[in-house]
Amino acid sequence: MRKSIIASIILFLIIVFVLLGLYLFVYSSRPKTVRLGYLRADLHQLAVYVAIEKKWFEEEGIKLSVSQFINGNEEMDAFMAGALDIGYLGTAPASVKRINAGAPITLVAGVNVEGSAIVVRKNQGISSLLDLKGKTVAVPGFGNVQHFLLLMALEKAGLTEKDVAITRIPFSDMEDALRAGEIDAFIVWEPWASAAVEHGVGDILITSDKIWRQHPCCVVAVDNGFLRENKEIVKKIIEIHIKATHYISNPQNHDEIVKIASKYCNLPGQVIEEAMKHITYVSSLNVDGIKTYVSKLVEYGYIEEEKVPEDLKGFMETFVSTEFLKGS
Amino acid sequence: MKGKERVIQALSILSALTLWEILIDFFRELGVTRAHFIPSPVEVGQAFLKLAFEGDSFGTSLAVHTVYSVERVLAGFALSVAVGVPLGIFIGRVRTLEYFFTPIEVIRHIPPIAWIPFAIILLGIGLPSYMFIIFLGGFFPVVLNTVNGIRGVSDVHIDVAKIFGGREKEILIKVMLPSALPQIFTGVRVGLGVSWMCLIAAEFMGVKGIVPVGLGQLIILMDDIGYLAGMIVGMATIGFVGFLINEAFLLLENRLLKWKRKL
Repeated sequence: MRKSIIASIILFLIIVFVLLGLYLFVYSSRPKTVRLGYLRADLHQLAVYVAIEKKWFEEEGIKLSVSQFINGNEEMDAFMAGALDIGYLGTAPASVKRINAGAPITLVAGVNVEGSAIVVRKNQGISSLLDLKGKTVAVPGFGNVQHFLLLMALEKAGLTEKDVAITRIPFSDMEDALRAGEIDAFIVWEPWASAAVEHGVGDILITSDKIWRQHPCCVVAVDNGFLRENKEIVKKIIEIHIKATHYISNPQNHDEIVKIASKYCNLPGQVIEEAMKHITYVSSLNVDGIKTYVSKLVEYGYIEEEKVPEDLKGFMETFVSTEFLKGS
Repeated sequence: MKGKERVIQALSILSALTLWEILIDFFRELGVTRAHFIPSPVEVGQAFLKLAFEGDSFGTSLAVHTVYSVERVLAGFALSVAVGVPLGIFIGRVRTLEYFFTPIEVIRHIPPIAWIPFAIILLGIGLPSYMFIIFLGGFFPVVLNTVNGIRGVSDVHIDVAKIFGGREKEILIKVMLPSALPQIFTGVRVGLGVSWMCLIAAEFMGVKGIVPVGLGQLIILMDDIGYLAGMIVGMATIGFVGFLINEAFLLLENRLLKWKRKL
């Protein structure tokens, strides 16, 4: 009797270890394709849409397997699960999960600055940030860029997050929720602010450049293990990214760019054109801006203070790498 | 015997926690990156204390999250019982009604989670939507068990009541209901369990209110900000509260149905 109990415990432990070993073996043996993530229908990330459409990755011999996410928080989960090699996402979720949970990523390029907006329901008398007091405001994720910008905007108006009801709704449901009167306002990335205006559902209360001028927004993040082992591939991808960013900024390509954006966001060209006015595409990294994110996120209580490295400058050097941007 | 059971149960929990701690330490020591994301029991304990006393980033404590969730479940599940039990009795009594309601079976196979987008469009984000999802989860176990309970009433009992001149109404209240009660209770207990699970799914859709509250929202918030030990605290609380609700209900059932054990 006793023997069989001991035997079954040992057997159980063996099974546990074998399964864990198998799991780690399967997931750590990386496939040859580069696993790239980006946010669905986020006009900020136009550079990656352009590069994919123009087949620039194939031209460089890079085979991609692409995953789409509805917010940066979930994309960071994929990084933590070891399911992504490289990804386009917001600075805030990248910083939050890098510090709070130790997600092994490095930021290697910028994607855009500015480009979000707070949209309010029509005819509700919300004409200033102060009017948001007591209202329900939707964010696409907690601790992401838009939530962060909302907190900053509230702070500017002398309010805190306790003064408004913050609810988390997928970006794609926000306009419906606003139309139905479920929420009074939302903050979202373009083109979804301009789309709500175009559809007659809401008005833009404030664009994010008025909350924080030239604020960093989306970045390119790379898994640290992938970066160590595949520097050449990362270098190529960032070159493509820079090329795409330049391509977007060239007025000669305007019509083609609008067409690609229109396809990826599933919106008419005129909405895209309006939305693009709120976004600046840059591939450089604003290290001081990222530092501001970190310190503000601590202040707002979304990064655990005890987890912030004392040597913030030293930490930034491990978190942000500008080596692939040199010469651009 | 009771004491021995308790000791073994405590040992089960303790050994699971120890194994968890050892495995985490082992893999962290090995340098497996992902082992650092999975919190150890000690870290979860610290997170529990933090969430219980300091609260989350909105300052909402674990107790508040739990109370909101329990309230929502009770509101939705009360509806399941209020509709499910009477309907079950009718279906159990009248054959024609059974055929009429058979098509509902199709709805039973739609998971409550699949109703969420529909609920948002129909009822918006908030208590009515939660109640709808929770109602759907609890309704079917309640109604099906009630039907079976009523069906299972012995014909002999009914015949005896008839012979002694019992009228339909009397037979229903004095013979059928008491006889079906154990089964109805089982349905309610199972339904409550399903409702509790649906609540968490419902809360994932968002929350209307000055701050996000509810255990489902706590899990999302903790996941969003990468505080994974806090996420586990939310999960564990859900399990623990669900367990407590079930135990409390069993206790109530045993007390109310004492007569049954004497039979």
